[in-house]
Amino acid sequence: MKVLVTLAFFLAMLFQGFCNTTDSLLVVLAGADKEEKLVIYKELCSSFFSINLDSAELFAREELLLAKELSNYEYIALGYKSLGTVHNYKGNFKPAKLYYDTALNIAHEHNLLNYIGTIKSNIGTIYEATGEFDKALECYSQAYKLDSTNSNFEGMNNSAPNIGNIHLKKGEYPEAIFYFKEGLILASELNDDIGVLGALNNLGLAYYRISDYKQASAFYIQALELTEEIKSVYYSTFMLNNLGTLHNDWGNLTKALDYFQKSKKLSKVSENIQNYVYASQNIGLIYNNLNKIDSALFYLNDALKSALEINDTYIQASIYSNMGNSYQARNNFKKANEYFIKSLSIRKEQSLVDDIAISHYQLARNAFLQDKLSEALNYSLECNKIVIDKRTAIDNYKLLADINESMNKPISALEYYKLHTQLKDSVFTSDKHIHIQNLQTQYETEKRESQIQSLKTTTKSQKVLQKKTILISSLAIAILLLLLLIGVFVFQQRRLRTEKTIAVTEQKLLRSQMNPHFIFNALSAIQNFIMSNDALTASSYLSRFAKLMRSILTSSRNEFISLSSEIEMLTTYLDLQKLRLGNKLTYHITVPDSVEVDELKVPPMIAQPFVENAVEHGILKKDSKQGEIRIAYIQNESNLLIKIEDNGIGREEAKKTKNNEHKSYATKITNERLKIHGADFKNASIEITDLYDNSNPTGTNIVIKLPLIFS
Amino acid sequence: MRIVIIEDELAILNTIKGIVTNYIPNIEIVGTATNTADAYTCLKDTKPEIALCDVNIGEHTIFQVLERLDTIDFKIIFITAFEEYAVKAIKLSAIDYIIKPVDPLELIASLKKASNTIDRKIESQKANVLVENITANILNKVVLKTSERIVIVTLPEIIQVEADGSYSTFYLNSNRKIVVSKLLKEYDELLADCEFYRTHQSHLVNLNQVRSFEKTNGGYLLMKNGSQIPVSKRKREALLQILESF
Repeated sequence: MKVLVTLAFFLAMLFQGFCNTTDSLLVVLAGADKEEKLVIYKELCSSFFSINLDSAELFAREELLLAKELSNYEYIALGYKSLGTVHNYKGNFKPAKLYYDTALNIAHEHNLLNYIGTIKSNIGTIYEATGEFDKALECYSQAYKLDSTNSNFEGMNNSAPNIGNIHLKKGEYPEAIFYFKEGLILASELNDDIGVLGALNNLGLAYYRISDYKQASAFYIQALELTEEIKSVYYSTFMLNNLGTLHNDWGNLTKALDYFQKSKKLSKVSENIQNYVYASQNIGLIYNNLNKIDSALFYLNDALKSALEINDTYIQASIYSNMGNSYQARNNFKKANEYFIKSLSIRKEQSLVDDIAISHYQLARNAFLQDKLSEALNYSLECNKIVIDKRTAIDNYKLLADINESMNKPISALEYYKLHTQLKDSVFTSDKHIHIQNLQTQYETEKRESQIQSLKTTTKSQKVLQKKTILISSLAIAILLLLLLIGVFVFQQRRLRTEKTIAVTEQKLLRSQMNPHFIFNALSAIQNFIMSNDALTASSYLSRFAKLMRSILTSSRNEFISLSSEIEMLTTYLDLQKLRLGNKLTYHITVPDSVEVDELKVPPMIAQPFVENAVEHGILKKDSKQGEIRIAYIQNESNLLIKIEDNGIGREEAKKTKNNEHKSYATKITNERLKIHGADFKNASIEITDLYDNSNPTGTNIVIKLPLIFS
Repeated sequence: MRIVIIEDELAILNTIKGIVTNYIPNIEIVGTATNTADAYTCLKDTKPEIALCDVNIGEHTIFQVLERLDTIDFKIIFITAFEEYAVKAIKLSAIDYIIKPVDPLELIASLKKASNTIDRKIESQKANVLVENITANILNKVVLKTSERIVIVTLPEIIQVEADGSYSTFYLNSNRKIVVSKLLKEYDELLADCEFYRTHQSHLVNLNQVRSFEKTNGGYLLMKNGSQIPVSKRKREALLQILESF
């Protein structure tokens, strides 16, 4: 009677990301360099896994060849792995295993830790496929452990459900549940929706197997909600089916109906005909059990129509069988017989022994109900001959007893009845046994779960710790980077600022040298010579003035000029002043032979502002005496000294007659200039001494101390 | 005294004319020119004693004019804006020059000095060195003016130049020695690009004449003629580097 289909998916990674990338990859391949080709071959290979294994193999071989040429061991290992997978999918497990082993060796040799886990996992699938569950389990567990030590969460996420499935297959439910739960945590942390879905479904299945319907239903419902969230209609119908089956077994037939109805509706919308057939058939079956034969027949017919459409003979046989039951329930034995025969002929074609036995039983019972005793006996004996399934056998013994009784063969009837009771008892005991076992498993599961819970807390705290470490280290790196950035920024800012200061100071310097007073005084002097008809002096003055201007403009472009050029420029300046002031000014420039005038370098016009001060504020304001400026250059071990001495009115007096702005300006700008030159000019200085003779000011003495800079 | 003035800028030409006629006695301006064609005929036909010449005339230079003349038997005083290469060549040939804008006092002094010392033969030699250096586009000869005479030497002949106060002594091949009343600095500037190097405050050497660098006694240069030239500490490294690639 059980035709309900339990759909379950055992592999967490059912879907491979396949889309239209194949074509675009093939296009890209043409223009790619060798390294890029490697990657593309690999992508192509994995794209073809789900469509054409021969093509996948071709690309895997191309990739392998190229990787060997490039000695790229990562891709050599991947190539062998791909070849293994191709053969694995083809069912050629021996070569697949060989390829995987080769890949594994290469991965070991070149320490490709992330691949070792994956390859082990793949080898596990071979063992699983060949039924060597212990070996498969070993492979999966090794992969899981390895990935766990390498914090390869993706790998762990792949292995956990595989391990769970093996345990499930071996009936080790607590272990299965443990790994499915691990998988659930991993998948949700990796945001792997399909992984989460698989874990929830597998958990539902595990609890369903131990008849913990409540838990199972909870997981299925969670899974269903997720499928709705990710808008996967395919998986939604899948979960609805599972829930329907669960509730049917649980005895909640209305709920079961409800789920199957929903599944059927969704299947129709998404044109998932296969599922539509399953759902419809299951609905029909439940209505049969509820003795609502009309409804049952309606749904079964509907299912049959679609089953014929998709040419699924297996389910057709199942539907015919159920329709036979419906008609039989309506006492339409003729029609029931028709459907049972149809079902039987399909089943015979497919050599499904148990199903054939069921068909024979159904036909026997149908004949018996019509009092066609000999026909019934024939079918029933046929069933008895081939039956394996105990439930069918029990029912068939009972039928045989009944037939024999009706045929007035009480001894045979009694014998069959005895057989029926015996088998029934044994099955009941085993059923009971199973029930007890299930209860025990439930208990163990709960116990394990509490263990797992405590374990999980540790893992969680470890994970939290790990996360914390990662967080702290990434934070540290971020801070470091930030500091570096700030450093660079500050450095650049400072450099910019220095550059700007230099530019500004140079500008100021130029302006101070091109002091408007000096220019106007010079031009006024020229004017004066013209007016006094001294054209020659005017002309001479003008040309010297022009030469000085040129010198100033040219030298101001340089950071340093030779001391000889500096002295020349200062001389020109003083000559001009002298021409203007006549006898009022005399000057002397002393340069001993020991001063390396051609070798030494100074900032251009370094002394000029002070000389100008001496002239304009010291000498010019003097009434009586001759003004005199003495300039001396002295080179000692470590410094060049420039002494500027005047016999003018002194600073105090100058301050009284004029605001001291200009004077301090000379010091200020020179100090700024010295500062710009940095470390070399650390000891550079300007010293100003006021000269007195019996407390009468007799002038000013200035000493500029510069480091020795040679060309 | 007969002079010609060649200057393409009319304002400057007039200024010079004014200075000459107003402040120099016994002088006659026998010709002026503002382009090279006129300059050529003017210099050729008027037979001046002194020529005041601008260097750049329009698109051309005065050197192109001088090149075409068969003989240059007049004294040249160049009037130039500061152009490095031309000035170097002029200086090497010991010809007078005045930098623009013209300082009348300077011009007057220069003209007065010239009028006393015109020796057509010497002027011709100096001009020829100049034209040679300019047309060869490489400075190869230098005119050394002593108190009595002028000597023309080629640069490869010079072994070294030594400063002696405001004099410079040239040491030449075959033990010749010429003392010139010019600062060593001037020759340093003129010859720095001609494979000469100032190894010391008072020594300028022809690098082609160096035999070796000796490390003893604080390091000195041994010249091909056997003389030893001191090298200042500061110059040592730079010199060694230059010698290495030489």
